[in-house]
Amino acid sequence: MAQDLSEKELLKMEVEQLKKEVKNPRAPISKTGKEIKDYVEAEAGNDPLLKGIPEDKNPFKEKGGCVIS
Amino acid sequence: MATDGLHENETLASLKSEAESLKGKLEEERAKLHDVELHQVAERVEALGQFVMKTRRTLKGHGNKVLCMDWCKDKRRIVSSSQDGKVIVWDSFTTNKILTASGDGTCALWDVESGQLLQSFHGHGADVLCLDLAPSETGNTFVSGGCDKKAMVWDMRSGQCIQAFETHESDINSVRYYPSGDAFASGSDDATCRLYDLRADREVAIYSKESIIFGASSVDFSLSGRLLFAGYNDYTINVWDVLKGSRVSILFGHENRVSTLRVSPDGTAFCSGSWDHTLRVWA
Repeated sequence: MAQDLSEKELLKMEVEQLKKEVKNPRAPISKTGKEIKDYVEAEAGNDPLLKGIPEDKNPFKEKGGCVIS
Repeated sequence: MATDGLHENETLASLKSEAESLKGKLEEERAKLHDVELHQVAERVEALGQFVMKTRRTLKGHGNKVLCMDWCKDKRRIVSSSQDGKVIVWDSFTTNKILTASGDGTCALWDVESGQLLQSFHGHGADVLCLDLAPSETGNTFVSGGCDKKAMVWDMRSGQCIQAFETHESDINSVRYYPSGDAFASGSDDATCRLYDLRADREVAIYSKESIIFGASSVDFSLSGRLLFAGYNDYTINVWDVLKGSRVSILFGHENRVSTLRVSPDGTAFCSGSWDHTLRVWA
């Protein structure tokens, strides 16, 4: 448990972890942001909350009444 | 011994300054990738039309605050838990491993059958409030959010933290992977939601407005990842355009804090739970 370690041991662990994180591979937003955008555009057609569902196919629509004239 | 104490302080001081300088280097490296804003990449994306959504069902049955809920994967049913001590409806779906987050600052992976601790994850400096598993295609990772304002991405097999993000200004109440697994969103007591891109290794969007001053308790994405639904402590749900960074809609209906929110597995609706003892299904 973290509480059992001395401040020095905790700091050593933090420094080791940060050294690893600094070396993580990373790419610019112009590239990764585009990939997110491309994903959205590819999937948008399948997103019911985005494009809406016609009321007659909506399983959550309120059940209507019936009028006889 | 006085001299030992002095030596000890020098080592602590040098470790602290090394940690600080590494954090500075990390920030520097991340800043280099900030060549453009997400909403600029999305400039040519068609704007969203008018957003119409309303409560379709109100589920009354809990006797106290609704704390959390989820959809069952193979059926249109919902499991919810409340401060009244009840779990209403059912869990028809069993898994043999379970991941937990704790107030002791750690996360743990358990084997349900044997009750054995398989892996523990140390690194948060305070209570871990939330976690989410990466979509199966992206591999064995999960993200956790805590009271230390940090969101951390973990490798489940090694127990190691892969990436950590500390840009929120308060507790992170909710984290949720983006459907493709390449990013995740967070909701915080600092009244903002944020998007973190795992491959750019940085925050790429903040969803906030000056008028929103209450914490976000729970977030989830629509199927395509274009929309982010977020429940707040001011009883509302804000719908955000993930790409453009703007708010698309604000949903009213709950009479107390929204504590939990989830989009259904087939993406046709989402459900919110609240301290007003009800759950609402929106479509």
